[in-house]
Amino acid sequence: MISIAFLSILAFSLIVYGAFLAFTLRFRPRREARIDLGSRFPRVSILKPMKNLVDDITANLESYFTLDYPNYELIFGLDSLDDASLPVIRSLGGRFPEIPVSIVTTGHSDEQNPKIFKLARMEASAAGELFWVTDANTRVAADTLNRLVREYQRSSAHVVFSPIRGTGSRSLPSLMENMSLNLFTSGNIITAWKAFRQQIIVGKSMLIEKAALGHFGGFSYFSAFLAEDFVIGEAFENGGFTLSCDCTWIDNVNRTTTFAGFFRRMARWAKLRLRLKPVFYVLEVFLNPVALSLALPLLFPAAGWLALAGVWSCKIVIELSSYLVLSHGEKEPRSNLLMLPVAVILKDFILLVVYFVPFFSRTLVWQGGSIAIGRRTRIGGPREILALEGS
Amino acid sequence: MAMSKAWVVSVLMGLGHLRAAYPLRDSACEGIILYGTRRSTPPREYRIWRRLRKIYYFSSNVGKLPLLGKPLLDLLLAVQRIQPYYPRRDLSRPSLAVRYLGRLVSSKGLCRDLLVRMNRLPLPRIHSFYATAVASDHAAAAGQDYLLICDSDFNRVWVPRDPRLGHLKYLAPCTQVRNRLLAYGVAAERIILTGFPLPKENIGSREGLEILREDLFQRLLRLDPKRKFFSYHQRSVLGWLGKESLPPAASGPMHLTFAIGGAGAQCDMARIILQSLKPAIEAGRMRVTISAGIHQKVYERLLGYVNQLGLADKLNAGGVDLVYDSDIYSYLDKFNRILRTTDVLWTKPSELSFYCALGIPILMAPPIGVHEELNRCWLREIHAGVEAAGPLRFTHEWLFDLLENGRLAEAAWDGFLKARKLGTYKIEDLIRTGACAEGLTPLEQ
Repeated sequence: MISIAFLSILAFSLIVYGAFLAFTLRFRPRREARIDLGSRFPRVSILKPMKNLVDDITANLESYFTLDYPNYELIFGLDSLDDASLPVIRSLGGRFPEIPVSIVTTGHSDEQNPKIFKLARMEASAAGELFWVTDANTRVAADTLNRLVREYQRSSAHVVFSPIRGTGSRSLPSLMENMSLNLFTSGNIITAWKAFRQQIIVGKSMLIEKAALGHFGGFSYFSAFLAEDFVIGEAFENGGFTLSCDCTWIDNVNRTTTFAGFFRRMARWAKLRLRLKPVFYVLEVFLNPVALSLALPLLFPAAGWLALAGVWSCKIVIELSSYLVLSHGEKEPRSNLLMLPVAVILKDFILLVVYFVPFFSRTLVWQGGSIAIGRRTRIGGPREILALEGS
Repeated sequence: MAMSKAWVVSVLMGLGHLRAAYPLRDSACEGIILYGTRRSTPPREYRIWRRLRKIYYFSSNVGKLPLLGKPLLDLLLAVQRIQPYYPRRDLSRPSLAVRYLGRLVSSKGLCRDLLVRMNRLPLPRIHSFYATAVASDHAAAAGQDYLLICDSDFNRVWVPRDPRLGHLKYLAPCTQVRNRLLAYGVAAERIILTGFPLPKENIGSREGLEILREDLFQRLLRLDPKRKFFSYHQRSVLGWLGKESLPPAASGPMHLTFAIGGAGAQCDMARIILQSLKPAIEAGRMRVTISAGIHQKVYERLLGYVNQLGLADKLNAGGVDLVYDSDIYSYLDKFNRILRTTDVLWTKPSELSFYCALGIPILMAPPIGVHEELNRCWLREIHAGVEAAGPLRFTHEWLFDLLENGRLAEAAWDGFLKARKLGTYKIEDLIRTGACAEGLTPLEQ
């Protein structure tokens, strides 16, 4: 009985990944010859909160200076003028003088979500009727903004969100992280949206209508929560606003992550997920077939090792397919293909360890600060500290 | 005039107790102390307060639980029961709750840290919640303790085990509270009839009441489109409000404010009311403000209703407004601001009942708990409260009937005449001089 239940869970786990892969393949990145926006090009303010240098920062930022879209501005939010990204921004601003650029120094807050703290201060300088919030480590194609605006106009959405493609792997940990982004994160985003109309917003790219955001009083409404992307999606949904995703992919460039960096990031996201959706998080352990399959030799002494090999092979094939469809064409070194089977197995074992971290720790390090979170990722724990003792 | 200071202590148990303390912020030494929160309370004691708060929020929402809701609510109401006032008799015998509180204070050291903090300066202490006042009285610390009663009638737990001992003085918002205190055994000289502290920004100066009088005059004009109320009360209104004559017409549509309680229990009511009043809002005959309090989820739900009902274009555009802020003090500021133009305040009869003194008719939502039941009785008694005359989904019918027959204007006027409006100023007098006059006329009370 136990064996059958276990096999069912294992099969379910592989089916879920199969579904992620199927949806990812169905809505994979594609080029379009021409994107027709008619005659209306609402002004877009691209808001980029920055914090020091990230992999390939120049190429990443340059992609935002070379968008096809005719009516946009770029606003960079920096802690201070000492930020290492400032020379890069200035240099690009000099190379593309036709693109309006503003630099806002915002300071930093450990008591509020640091990203939202920046966005709330950048908002005042933004003239667009749409805000496109993107992270520093993202890179986009020239027609990305056209696609997002088209989706905004077509669906009358107030928020348009995107799946994320991890690219640029040059090390084993960065390959693991990118694979996790492509299959688990983006697979979740696309499957949840296309199959169940459930939003899972990742803050790396959010196109938000300014007027709708205004009903919440601007970005500062979300400042008490660390998972601002999830909370933004939830608030807009509760507030009766429309959300949409047309699967315009955004690249997340990640070349040189270390094992420690990979572990920290995965642990941070796991801590957020546990506080956002505790029940789903607890069940997540069943979505790690590689780790689960370690029990197979114990449950089935005769054919257990063979079954284990079968499960691992299935997972490797799924991940390989995902990699080939999403990342391989993006000038990734061929050696990644050789590393991939090892990366898949190692990643899933690391993720098994990561899985337990949030049960013992609610503090995470982000943007240079150590932040404790409570329910729904509320910063500092119970809400009264922030809200009820107020000003 | 030199401003004297006092310790002003409140707790977070819904918004009521803090709303009572907030108008006294100018007199508060080191700001209003919100006791029972993590920052102001040692961890050991914080756990007790957190438990109390959970019980409070549970009891506010328990009635909505399927199946068990009603019996559980009945049980809670029985626990909170207030002895009938009539026949008049001695009610000073301590209840179980009084004994329990006494034990928390004497054995568990409830509020000990608060007392240490306040003992640094021997100033008067104004409490808007009984537990801190009883603890302070028990410690017999230097400086006079005043306990501000936040309802029109109240439970025995607000008075210590032996009401004849101690030095605690009581600030009564209305006569019924004074009577009740006497029945609980409190000496008459320790009861001061001040009135409930109302926001000064809604009153103006204590001598002139300029803001209150001007707002009320405009409100009465909007609430009496057929001039039925004025046909009876014109001379009285012009006299008390210092006006020469009535203008030919009122400015703007009627403005209804629906206040959702601190626990967010009336969200569903708000949806039905909005749905019913939608045509009037769209036609510009009505402006509706819904006060969401400090809960994000409540605000988002309300926003959802507005969008679902297709009223998004009216939001913050003179048709529908939502009042919300995550910061409690900013929220109270916003709420007080919106009251200035409010013509009808639809609320459960909480501490907001006393806001009828601003000349705002209270449209009474179903009460939650015995205190609110008794507040409703008080509002009825002074004719400042109006019952919903029909089901919520027909609000668009009966509300305009009440408007056209002048009933709302009458309630506004009765509230202004009969309820005390100078509570804040009188408490400031007490802080400054140790005494205050009760006042006789509507402009002095």
